Amino acid sequence: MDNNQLPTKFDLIVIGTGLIESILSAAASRIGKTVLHIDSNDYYGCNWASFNLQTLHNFTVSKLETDNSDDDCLRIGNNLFDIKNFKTTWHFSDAQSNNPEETEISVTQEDLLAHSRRFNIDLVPKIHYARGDFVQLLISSNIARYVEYRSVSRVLTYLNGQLEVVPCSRSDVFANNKVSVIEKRMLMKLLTSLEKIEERLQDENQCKKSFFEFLKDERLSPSLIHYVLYAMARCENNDSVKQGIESTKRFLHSLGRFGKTPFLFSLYGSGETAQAFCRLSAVFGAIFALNQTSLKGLKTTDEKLTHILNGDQEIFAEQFVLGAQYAPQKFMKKLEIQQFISRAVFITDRSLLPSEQEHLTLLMFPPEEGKNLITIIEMGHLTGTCPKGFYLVHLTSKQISSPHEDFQHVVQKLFNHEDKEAPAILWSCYFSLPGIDNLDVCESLPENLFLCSGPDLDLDYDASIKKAKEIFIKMYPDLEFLPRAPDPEEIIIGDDHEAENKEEDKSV
Amino acid sequence: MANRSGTAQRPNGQTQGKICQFKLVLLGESAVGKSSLVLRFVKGQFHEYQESTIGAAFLTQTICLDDTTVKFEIWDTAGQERYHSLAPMYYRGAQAAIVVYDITNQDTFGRAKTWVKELQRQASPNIVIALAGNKQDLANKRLVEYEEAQTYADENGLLFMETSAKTAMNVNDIFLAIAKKLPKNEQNTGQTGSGQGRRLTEDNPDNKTVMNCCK
Repeated sequence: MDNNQLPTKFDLIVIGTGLIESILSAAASRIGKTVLHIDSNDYYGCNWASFNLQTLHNFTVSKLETDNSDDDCLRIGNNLFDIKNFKTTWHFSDAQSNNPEETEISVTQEDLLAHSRRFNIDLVPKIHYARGDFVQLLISSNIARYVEYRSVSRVLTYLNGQLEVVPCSRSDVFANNKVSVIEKRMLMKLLTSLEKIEERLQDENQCKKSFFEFLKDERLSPSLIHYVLYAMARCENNDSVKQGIESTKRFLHSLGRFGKTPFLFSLYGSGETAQAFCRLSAVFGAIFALNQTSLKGLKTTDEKLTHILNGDQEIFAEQFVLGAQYAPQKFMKKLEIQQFISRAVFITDRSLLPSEQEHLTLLMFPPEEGKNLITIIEMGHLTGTCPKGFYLVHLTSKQISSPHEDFQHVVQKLFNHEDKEAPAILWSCYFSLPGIDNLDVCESLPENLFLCSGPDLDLDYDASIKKAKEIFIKMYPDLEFLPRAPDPEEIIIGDDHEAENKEEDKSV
Repeated sequence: MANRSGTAQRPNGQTQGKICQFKLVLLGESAVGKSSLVLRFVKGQFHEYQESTIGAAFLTQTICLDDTTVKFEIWDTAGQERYHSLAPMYYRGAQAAIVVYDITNQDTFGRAKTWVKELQRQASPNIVIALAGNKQDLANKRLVEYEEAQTYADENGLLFMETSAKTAMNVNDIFLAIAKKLPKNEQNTGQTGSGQGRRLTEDNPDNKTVMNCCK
């Protein structure tokens, strides 16, 4: 039907609905640019998406149609950023055979699949600092109106073979019965005088030592070192003192704004965030078209991109923003993916550390046995990501060998089959994500083409916001980045507005 | 944010009675008159050549029902339905939906049925759905029979009315009918949407937030 034909002239064409692309789409629409935003997938988010159980279970890396189109166009897409080692498994037989007398596990694979749509499983789960750049941007741009958030209700760590709640606030510190009064004072002293310590270290030229050594030199007890190093600063043992102090300050700075911990999580999963930016973009006039499977190539004239070939349509624009996975191979020759992110997701039948209320938990599993620090997020049904009675557990770390091997020790310790108190894994999903975040090595990019990297290892989106801003400034140097959108009460739809609309050059 | 208007919109300034807030989403094919229905309801206006509502994330309107004030937060598709690209976040936490078709266009009625199915799959199971056969002022060019739509609505438990954004016929009525059917319990008196999460604002003192669990 003619209905599927897109308009053919825009200020900006965005290909890919990953987070950075979506932020740029919103920012451009917001300042009145005409935007076409397309994706070859039939879902929003690219590698930042969330899926229901059925869809994720059957996930396959989607491929653009590869028909033999003409050679003088730059074919869109490369396979550098594909998800790798994807494997899902049902574990019902294991759970039952190991708990023969436990008749309570009457859940079946079919039961979970019947609730498939109640699951929103993130490819990349993200947590936000309550006073981080991302939250500030949500509020200042008024995008906060579209999405709801939930506070992370506890931060856990794994110490001496068991899970422990990390005291976050002053009152937590004093209520904690695992640390002595002297330790409490030492901890408070450290946390309240980080600025001074930073200055002192600079004077003493001690910035080169590791944060771990520094904490030892401050004579903190092993458990305090553990809390600060892993849970608050989320550092590896050899991270520098500068980095450690920086991230501890970030943690402290975000305390006391929303909830008991410094962290927030988006209701219904992290995939909502890119969608929220896309909605803002649409609200300000951008045209959205998913499932554009016949996206073929880019055309250039004199080092500049002029248009895209989409099916039999030629669509023109001044500027082009592409998710890195859509970049033509030609530009990616020097790019090597050296760092992968190991990911695992489990559906479990109970919390790692059951409590009277349902918790949204962030667990920093310390590096041990030659493994890296692992970020674990456990979410229950109140997060809108799984049905009641179940938990989703997300594991993320810098890859050493494979997701399976990188997380094996954690699975043994926290989901032990022989331990009846431990949660049983009902379903598991393992995969590797390409973790590149530096696209500077891309060669001879046309001056009006901007590439956006995929998800990184960071806990939050702050680095991605920074990247989006950098690209925005290059495209529109003198214009404001995501100014506050009006509240519903401020929208006047009357004669003035009508006149304004008529003046606008609508190229439909 | 929602609590800005609060009780101030009560016509006589009284504050007794409760305020319930609901998210209502509009669905339907392009050009059936979704935005026109909202503008008629919210602003009492109609423009023959209504451009898409640039800049409106959603619009709000309140209805008084006995001792309850029902505040609708009305979400329009912002054109994302045009190329079948409506994001799942659009339905999140929606307690009501109006699925709109154009009585002079049989295809739009077919699409309306698809949207109803989509809502039944994607949205909350308790969502109140109304079917609106719009452009009733063009009844002489009618291609969808009233009875056909009524039968379909009955079979699927939907409210149904033929409306005209142009003449205002049944516009307030359909919102009123939805307001009557919505559960007005404790949960919906909160200002933070679904009650499971919170909207972030510059100053979000903790005591203002509603963190009750819903089920």
